Amino acid sequence: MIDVLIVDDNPIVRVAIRGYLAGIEDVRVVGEAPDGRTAVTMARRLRPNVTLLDHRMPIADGLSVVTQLSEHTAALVLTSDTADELIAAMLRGGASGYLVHGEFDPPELVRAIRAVASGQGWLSSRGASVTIAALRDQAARERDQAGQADQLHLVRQGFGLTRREQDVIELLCAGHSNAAIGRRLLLTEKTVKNHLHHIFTKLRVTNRTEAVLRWSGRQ
Amino acid sequence: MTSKRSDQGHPFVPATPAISVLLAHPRPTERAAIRAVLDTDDRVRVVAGTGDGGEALALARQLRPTVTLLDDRVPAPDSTDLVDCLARRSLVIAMTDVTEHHAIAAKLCAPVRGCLVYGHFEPADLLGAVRAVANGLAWLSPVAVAAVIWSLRVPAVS
Repeated sequence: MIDVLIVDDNPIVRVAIRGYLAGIEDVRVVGEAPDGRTAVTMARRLRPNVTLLDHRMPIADGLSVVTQLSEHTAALVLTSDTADELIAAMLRGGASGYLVHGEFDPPELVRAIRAVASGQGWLSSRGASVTIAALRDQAARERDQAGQADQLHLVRQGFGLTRREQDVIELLCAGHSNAAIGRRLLLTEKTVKNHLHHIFTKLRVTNRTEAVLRWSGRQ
Repeated sequence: MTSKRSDQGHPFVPATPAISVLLAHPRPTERAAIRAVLDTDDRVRVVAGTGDGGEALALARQLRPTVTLLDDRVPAPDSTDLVDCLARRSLVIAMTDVTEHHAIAAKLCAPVRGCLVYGHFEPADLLGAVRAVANGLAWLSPVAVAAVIWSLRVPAVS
């Protein structure tokens, strides 16, 4: 049996959903909430398998409680809001699915409830479209970041620092004094200064600040 | 070339233009089963089927199907990315056996408009997917939904 909590500020919507689900054998409506705050209280108490969650509601909207709700129940968003950002934010926030009013029929609602109750997800075709786009954006950003990291690595290799000089510059970048660097690397302060002198020459800089900027790829 | 236009119209021509579909699946029996499901919708027309990647590309070029259902076991011709090439001519829906989150997420980074996972969709979903994709939207089986949501929350370690 799948226990369901219905969260929507519109009583007509709640009645309609409850009425339809009454005819479904493996689904039982265990409660209704008119706002996000009440929903969290009820979800904590009733532990419904699935919570049908509207977004625009008084007191606390759906997005503001989706993460909290998801600790107790699988949240299936059921709303007329179709903003791309909202869909992505709901899913990142913990929602297991997203259905848009007017774009699904009652049987699809039941299949969505069963899917999220079993630990999978359900997206209406619009939700799927937005989510695939968000996934590709994210993958592209990660590739960019990886590309920048590779480039910095190449730039650093070009300076030709020794292993020990690299240790010194890393500690310098972390904000340590010559004395502190010496303690970390078991070197005298004089040796640290010598290393820094070589590093400055190789990086073609004249002071510590420029060295840090050059090594972190910002100059 | 011009053709004489008929204003009478055919009584059985549906109001919305048909969605043409190319089936690329290595097993003829499964192709037939998929075709049987798609044939139940008057607006969906299966224009060709094949189990070979090269042939699928040629058919896509020639027939410009609205949607291509592509099983991931269809062998690609040498040095081509079958999904990329097909996606330039048609809206591709991937059909697959894989259920691992990262594997599905990787598939969805290719230019496909949907993903149907065997064992996780009903006949009605096949039509739902074709219609949604033809309308410019997308379709994912529940296990694929779980995979995308998972990858949105846990960015891959690069």
